[in-house]
Order: sequence, then C-alpha cells, then structure tokens
Amino acid sequence: MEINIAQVIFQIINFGVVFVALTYLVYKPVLKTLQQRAEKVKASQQAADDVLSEKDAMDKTKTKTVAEAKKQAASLVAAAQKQADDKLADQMAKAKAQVKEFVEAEKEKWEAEKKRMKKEFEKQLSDSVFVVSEKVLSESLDKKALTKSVDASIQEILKAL
Amino acid sequence: MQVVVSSPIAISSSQKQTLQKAVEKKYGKVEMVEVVDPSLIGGVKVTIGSHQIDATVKSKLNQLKQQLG
Repeated sequence: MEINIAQVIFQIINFGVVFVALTYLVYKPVLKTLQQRAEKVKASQQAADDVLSEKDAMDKTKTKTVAEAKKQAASLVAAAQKQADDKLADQMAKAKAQVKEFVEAEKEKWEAEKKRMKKEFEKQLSDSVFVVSEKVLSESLDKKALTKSVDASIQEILKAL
Repeated sequence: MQVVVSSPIAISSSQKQTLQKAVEKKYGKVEMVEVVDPSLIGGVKVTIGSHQIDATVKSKLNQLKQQLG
C-alpha cells in the first residue's frame, strides 16, 4: 500500500481546521450553556432549600404558637373554673347564711309567740281563778266568817294607821 | 272630816268605836259613814279623804290576780 504524503498532510490540516472550528463554534457555547444551566439548577436548588428552611421555621413557629395558645387556653379555662368554683362557694355560703338567718328569725318569732301564748294563757287562768274564787268566797262565807274577817281587817287597818 | 267605812256586812258598834278612836287619834274629829257592799266579799275598807286603807278580800284577790297576771 502506498502512502500519499500530500493526502496525509491535507487530512491533518483539514482535521486541525475542523478541530479549531468546532472548538470555537460548538464546544465553548455548549460549555457555556451547560455552566449557565448548572448555575440555574444550583440557584433553583438554593431557592428550594431556602423555601424548605422557611417552611421548617414556619412549622416550628406554628408548633410553638399552637403550644402557647393551648397553654394560654388551659390557663384561661383553669382561671374560669376557679372563678366559677369561688363564686359557687360564695353563693352557697351566702345561701346558707340566709337560711340560717331565716331559721333563727322564725325560731325567735316562734319563741315570742310561745311566750305570748303562755302569758295569755296564764292571764286567762288567773282571771278564771279570780272569778271562781270570788264566786266561791261570796257564796261560802257565812255571817260568822264575815264578822271574823271584818275583825281581822280592822286590826290590819289599826296597824296601818 | 268624813270617814267612809265599807264592809260586806254592817259592822258592830264596838268595831265602829275602835275604828273611830284610831282614826281620830291620827286625824282629829271625824264623821263616820258606813257603807255595806257585799261585793267586797270580806274585810273592811276605810276611806279618809283621799287616803284609803283597803283590807277587803276583794282587794286581796285583785292583788293576787295582778301578781299572777
């Protein structure tokens, strides 16, 4: 086989021209495009990371806020419960005091009424005793007894004089 | 001065004299007026002016009644 030097040189020059042309016209723009794309991807990744970080932070804030809200709600419920219990106890105490006062007042009224009735009864009894005694004495004293009582009274009057 | 002597029965003259002597000893000369009142039950009541000495059974019963009432 015979080597054509001229053909070889021509091929080498031709390859070199094509190599240089491809380097400047294709390789560099493609490389640049790839770099730009990589930067875009990196930026997008960074943005996605930032969004995720922000979401985590928001989740933490949300959890913390919910926990604080729950704590505040529990505190409010406990305070309201305590206030209601205190008010109930206060009202119960007032009601008991009122009932006691009412019972005492009624008891006093009843005692006064009993005393009044007893006094009334005693008065009626003494009136009856007086009437009966007066009647019995008027009917039972004979002249002798009357004279004796007059004598005794005169002695009493003499002492008084 | 008039002295009223009230009693359920008429008092005897000796009783009247005894009373008159005692009253005159203290008040001087008096005129005795007798009143018979059966409602007095027993005893005697002597009224000398505004002064009264009540020793009747009715008066005693009244006092008893007041003490009980």
